[in-house]
Amino acid sequence: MEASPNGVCSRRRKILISLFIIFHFSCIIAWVLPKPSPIKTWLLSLSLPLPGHSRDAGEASSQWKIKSRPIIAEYIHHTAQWQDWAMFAPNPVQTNQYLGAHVIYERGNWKEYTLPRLDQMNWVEAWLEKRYRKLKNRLIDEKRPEFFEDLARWIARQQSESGNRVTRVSVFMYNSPIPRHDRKDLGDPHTAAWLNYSEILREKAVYSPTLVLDYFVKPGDLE
Amino acid sequence: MKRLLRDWDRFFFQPQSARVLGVYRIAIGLLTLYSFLLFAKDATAFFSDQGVLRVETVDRVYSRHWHTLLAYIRSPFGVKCMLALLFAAGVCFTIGFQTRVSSIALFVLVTSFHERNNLVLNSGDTVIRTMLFLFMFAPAGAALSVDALRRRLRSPDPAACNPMLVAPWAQRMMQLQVAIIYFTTVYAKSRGDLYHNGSAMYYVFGIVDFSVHGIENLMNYPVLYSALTFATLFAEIAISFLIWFRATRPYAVALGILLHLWIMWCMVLPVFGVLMIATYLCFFTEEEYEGTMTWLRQRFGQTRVWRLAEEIPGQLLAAPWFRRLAGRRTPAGPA
Repeated sequence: MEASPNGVCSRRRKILISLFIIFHFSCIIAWVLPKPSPIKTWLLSLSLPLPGHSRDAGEASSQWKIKSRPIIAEYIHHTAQWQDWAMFAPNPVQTNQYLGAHVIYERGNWKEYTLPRLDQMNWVEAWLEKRYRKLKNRLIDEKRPEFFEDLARWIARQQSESGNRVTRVSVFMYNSPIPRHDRKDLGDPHTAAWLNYSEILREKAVYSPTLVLDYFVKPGDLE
Repeated sequence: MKRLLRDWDRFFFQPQSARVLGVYRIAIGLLTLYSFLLFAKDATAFFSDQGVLRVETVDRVYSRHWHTLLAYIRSPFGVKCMLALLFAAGVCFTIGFQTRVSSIALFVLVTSFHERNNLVLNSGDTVIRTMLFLFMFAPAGAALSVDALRRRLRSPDPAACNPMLVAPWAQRMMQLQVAIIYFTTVYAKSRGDLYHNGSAMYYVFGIVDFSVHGIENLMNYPVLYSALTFATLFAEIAISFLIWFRATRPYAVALGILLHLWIMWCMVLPVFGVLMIATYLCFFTEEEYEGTMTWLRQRFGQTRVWRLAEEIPGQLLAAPWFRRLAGRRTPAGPA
C-alpha cells in the first residue's frame, strides 16, 4: 500500500484491496442502517468462529478463546469504526432537559448544582462548553444507573469544601416539554398573535424534576 | 461484467497525483488538532478516573470490545501527557513528517480518547475517527509534506520533483464514507413523521440548548420552518449524489457550505460543520486543484503570506538541519 512513483498496483494487490473495500463498506452499511430493519438484523447476526477475549457466564474474568462471534460487530468494534448519523432522527426531541443535583454537606447545609447549561450561555461560552450538552443528552438517553453514580461521585469531588465534605448527592433530571402551538388554534394564521418563544422556552419555562439517583457518598469517593 | 470491472479498476486504482490527498491530509490534521484543543480544557473531567466516568464503569456497562490506552493511564496527569502526545502526532501528520507512522499514532491516540468516554462525542468526532482510519492506508505523505521534500532532497533523479502518482483507492473510500454520512442521515430522518409533516424544524428551533438566543422565535413562522425541514432533507440527499459529478460538484459544495454554516452558527456545533465542509476537499480532481491554485495565485499571489508560503519548501531544502534530517550531505540542486 506504499506509494510507488507511477502509482500502479499489481493485480494481486488490487484483488486484496478490492476485497477489503467490499468488506469494509458492507460492514459500515449494515452498521448504519436504521433500526428496526430485517436486513440489518440478518447482516449483524452473521457469525464465524473467531479468536478473542470473552467472558462466559460463571467465569470470573475474560479469557482468550475461539468461539462463534458476529463478524460485522467484531470488525466495527476492533477498528473503532462504530458510527451513527441519525442526529434529530427519526424525529427531534420534543422536550428541553437538563441535569442537576442537590448536594448535601456533612454540616447539614446544601446547595443546588447544574451541569453546564448551554441555553444560559452566550455563543462563545456555548462553543467551548458544548461537550457538556452531549454528556447530558447521552446520560439521559442511556439512563444507566452506573453512569449516574459516577456523575454523582464527580459532583461530590467538585463541590466538597475543606472541612465540609459532601455526604449525599441527589441527581435530578429536569424536563420541560416544547409547547406545540398550531397556528390554526390561535385564530387566523395570518393575524394570530406573535408568540415570544424566547420567553416561553427560556425565561418562563417550567421544568419538572425527576429524581434519577440518590447517592450517599462513600469515604473513598472523594479521593 | 467486464465493463463493471474496468470501471471499478479505473475508479479505485487509476493513478492520480497525490496533491489533493496532501491538501486533505492538512485539513483533517488541522481539524483534529482544533477538535482536541476544544477538549483540552475538560480533559481531566472527561477522560481521567477523577472525572465523570471511570474505566471500570465503561467496562461493566459495555459488553463489547473497546481498545484504549487510557484504560492503563487513568490519572489526570497521565491523561494530559497523552493529550500532549496526540498534539505532537497531530502536528507531524499535518506537516507530513513520517506520515505513515504519525497517521497510525494519531489514529491510535484519537481512538483511545474516543473509546475512553464516548458519552461526550458528537458526529464530528466520528468523522475524524473514520477518516484517520482510512488515512492509515493512504499514501498521504506523497505530496505537500516534509516527507516529500526529504524524498526530493535524497533523490538525484530530477523526476523526483514531479508530483507523485498514487493509486487513489483510500481517497475513494473517504469519498464513499462522506456520501454514506449524508445518505444515511436522510434515510433515518425519512422515517420520522415530523419530517413528513414539515414540523421537525419547529422542535429543533425549540430545543434551547441547540439554538442561539432568538432563533426559537422562528417557531412563529410555519411556512419558514416547514420549508427549512424539507430544504434540509433535499440538501442532504442532493449532496450525497451531486458531489460525485464534476459538473454538479460546485453546486453540491455551495449547498453543503450553506447548510453546515447555518447549522454551525445556529446550533452551536463547532466541529461537525467545518469538518463536513473540509471533507469535500477529497472529491477535488487534479484539474480542479490546479484551477483553484491558479485562481488563488492570481488573487493573492502578491501578498506577503502567499510569497512566504511558496518560499517555505525552497528554504527547507536549503537549510542544513533539514538536509541532515533528510540524510543528504551533498549540496542540493535548485529547489
